Amino acid sequence: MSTVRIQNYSNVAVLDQIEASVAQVLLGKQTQVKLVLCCLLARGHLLIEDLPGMGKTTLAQAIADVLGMRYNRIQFTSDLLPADLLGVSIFNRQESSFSFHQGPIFTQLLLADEINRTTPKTQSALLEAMEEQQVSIEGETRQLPEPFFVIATQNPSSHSGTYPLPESQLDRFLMRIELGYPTPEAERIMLQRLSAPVKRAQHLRNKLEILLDIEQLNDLQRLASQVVVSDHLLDYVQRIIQQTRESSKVQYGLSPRGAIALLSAAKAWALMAHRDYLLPEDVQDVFAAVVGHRLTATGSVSSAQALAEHILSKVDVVYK
Amino acid sequence: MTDNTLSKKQLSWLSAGMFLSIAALWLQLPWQILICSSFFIAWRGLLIQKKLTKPGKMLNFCLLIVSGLILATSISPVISLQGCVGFLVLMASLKILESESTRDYLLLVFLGCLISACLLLFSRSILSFSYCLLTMLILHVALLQSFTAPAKGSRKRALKTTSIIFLQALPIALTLFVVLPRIGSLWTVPLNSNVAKTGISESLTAGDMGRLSQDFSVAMRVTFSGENRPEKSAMYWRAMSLANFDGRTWSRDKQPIKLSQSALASLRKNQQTVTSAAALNTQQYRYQVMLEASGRSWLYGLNTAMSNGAKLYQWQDYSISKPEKVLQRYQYQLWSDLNYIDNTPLSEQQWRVFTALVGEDNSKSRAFARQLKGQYGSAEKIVSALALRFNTDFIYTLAPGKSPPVNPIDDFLFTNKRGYCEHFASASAFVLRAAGIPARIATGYQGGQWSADNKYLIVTQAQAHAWVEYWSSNKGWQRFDPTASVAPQRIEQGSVEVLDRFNESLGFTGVLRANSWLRHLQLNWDGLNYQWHRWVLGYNTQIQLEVLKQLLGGFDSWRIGLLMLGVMFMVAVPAAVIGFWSSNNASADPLLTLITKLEKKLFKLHFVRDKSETIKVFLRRTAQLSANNKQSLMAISQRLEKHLYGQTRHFSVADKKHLEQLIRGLK
Repeated sequence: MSTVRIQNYSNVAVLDQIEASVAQVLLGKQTQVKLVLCCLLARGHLLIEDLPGMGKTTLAQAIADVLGMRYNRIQFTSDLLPADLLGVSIFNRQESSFSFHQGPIFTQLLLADEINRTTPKTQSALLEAMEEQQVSIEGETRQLPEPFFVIATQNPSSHSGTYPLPESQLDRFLMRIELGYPTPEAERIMLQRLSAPVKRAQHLRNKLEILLDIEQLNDLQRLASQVVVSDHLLDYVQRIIQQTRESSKVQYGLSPRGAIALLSAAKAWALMAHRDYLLPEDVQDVFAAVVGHRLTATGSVSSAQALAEHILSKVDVVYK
Repeated sequence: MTDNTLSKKQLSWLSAGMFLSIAALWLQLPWQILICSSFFIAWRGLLIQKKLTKPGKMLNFCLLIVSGLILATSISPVISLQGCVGFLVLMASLKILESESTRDYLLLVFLGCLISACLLLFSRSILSFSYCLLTMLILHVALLQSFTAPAKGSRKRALKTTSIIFLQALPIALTLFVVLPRIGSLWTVPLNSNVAKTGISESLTAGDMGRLSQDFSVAMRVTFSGENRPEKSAMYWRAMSLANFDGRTWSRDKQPIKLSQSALASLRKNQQTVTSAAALNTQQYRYQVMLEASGRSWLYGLNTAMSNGAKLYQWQDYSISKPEKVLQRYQYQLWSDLNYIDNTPLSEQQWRVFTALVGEDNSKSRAFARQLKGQYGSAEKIVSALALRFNTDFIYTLAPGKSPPVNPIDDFLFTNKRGYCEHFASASAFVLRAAGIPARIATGYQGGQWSADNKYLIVTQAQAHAWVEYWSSNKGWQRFDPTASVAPQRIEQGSVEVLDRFNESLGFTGVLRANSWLRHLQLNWDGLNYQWHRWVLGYNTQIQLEVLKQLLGGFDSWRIGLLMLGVMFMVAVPAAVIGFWSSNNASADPLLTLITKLEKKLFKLHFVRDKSETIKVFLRRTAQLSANNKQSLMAISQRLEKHLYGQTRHFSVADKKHLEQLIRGLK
């Protein structure tokens, strides 16, 4: 839209560049890339759920590169312990004292790979850190760096050897997205690149330049939170939430935390469209990603996407 | 509708309505036809879900032939009511399968209404009528679907709208029912008339009445006019007298004789004098009987009864019958004088008939009769001696045991001493005849049960009864009910209560009767049905004139016109007020009112917003399809977006005017 009223901020345009840049690596997944950025702008954590080999890790790495963030990756396994994640105090013989060795969680962007492969104990250590932005180890509270953004990936829980995350913990993620198979065209380009002499995809990824620093990101996040929400739009959001609570196809309605998540994600989405006010379209666009993992469908509705579409189709955008 | 294709929603409603209307005929049509049409409807259902494809031309033709064959083989004769309805049902279901356009759709809705009305050709009970209304409601929802935007509203809302329309139409329909002239049937169809009903027959053998004693189906209902009602013990609903006795069975005269003109005249004269004197305390009653279909021609009345209807036969034994059999519920008016005496002496031939006894069997009873005759002489005294005898050591029971093939009366009188009403009546009549007193059996019903609101009397088959009439030279024919001596409660309370006392098991029906709550429910339900038949089905020209006279004070056309206008006014004014009020109420938010205006305007141009569609997306979609409105639509979209969601909250009068102008400009 051309009705931009954001002054003094060329930064917003940077978002387009980031999108384009990441899209070079992850072909044909513009929407997902946009959702990831939106999640980051809304200060939320992201859960990517898909089959192995769909480009979950590639996406997370590309984002980290472009944002110039400190980046750690943990591969979750069933024998991973909380200490492996958070860090341990080790006795220093010279100084005769314990010194704390930070675990991989002390980073700006954490890629938690296959989070549902580890035990609930380790899962909850991570999720606690996500919620509080701090960790308590041996009675001492330690702040995590700012910003702290977690991208967790998980396999569909029907795969063997997984510990599915309970609903209460899924709620900590602002969004859950699925990547899905690439389009035939995108796959073709990808395969062509791979057949080139060097691993060019790898090469290309390394070449991504840093487009945004931490301060700029902070500014953008602040801007996103300042997007104007009119009464009519709040009415609409409330009608949607009410619908999730009344619909017979949903087991439990959306929690207030879920409602807040929906609104903040939609605001970030509006910002990405260079708009300083929220439209119903923004809410509709992010709705499936934000609520898909928070609602349990009953009966015939199979996928989260279908459930989200069903709920939206029942709510009038304009009237009560 | 702009396009001719039918939406899934429309078809679902239509299929549901058609299915309901056809399913109602499951008792009337052979199963082959129902299965065939269910098959077609199911096919349509699978078509909606895209699980099957449409039949091609060839297949369509084959289906037509097959259904024709099914029709021809399953109903005979084909040219009958059943056949015609079956044909209609089959063709309509085939039409469902092939319907494509809105035209087909409308046709089917009307066909569905016709089929659901066909149910009333077979059954006219309240339940059938209610069911018919329900089907009509569903079909009208379907009808409504073709005139409203397909995306608008849920299923519930559609039902609600149609119900409101129905309710609005109700007063008008009722008024039309009341005031429209009752035209007789313009054409008749051969209705099913082989309804065989058991009940009282033209002969009486031991055990006949006992068989009826557990049949609690209603035989007739009686409404007395005025407050004057006879005691239960005086309510002998007499059908006929049985004069011929062959030793086991009492039967009616093969060629009954009509009541002579002079006797009729004296009966009528008696009636006229009493009416003019308006003496209410005499034993004279005026009442209306609604007789259930009995399959016989005679009617029931309190003796001595006279009918005002010219078309009824009055016989010499004062029984009344209809020229044809009662195959449907039949209403008639009677006047009765319980004290009327006709003591015209019996002719020689009559005397012979009423004292005839064939054969020489039952010798002990004959000896007993001769002994009574010698001891008491007059008929009255012999009768009371008989009653006394029954009162001492006889038992009134439903299960008297099988009577022996020879000398059954001897066995009853001297050995078994157990019996039901017909045993007592038969034995008494035999003894009286053997004593040389003219006697005959009378059959009918005795007593009745007052309805829940105490307004009318219900007589059931279980109340079937037989008693004796004997000739007394100065009083004419007199009633003697031996059952009243052996079990007086039978007459005062009813057979079931008495049998209870005699510890007779009545099985489940007994349990049902014993439960007073169920009994109450049954009585209320009966009352409802009775009123339904009396006021709705039996609403004929005569009742109509009475009602109109009471309601309007006359039946001039201007009065009826005024009534119609009044009712229309009553319906229209509240509807208008509610409509005005709600449209005023909605104007709380001027922006939303404006959007409503916009949507109405675009609806006229055949564009409908899906409710989950945002204004922007909707208008963009519309703009793509209507090029000449593109400019203004985009302008409207931008302005609305700004005011609805943007930072410019203020919505000035100028803004509103401008937007309205833009909306008006749409073409």
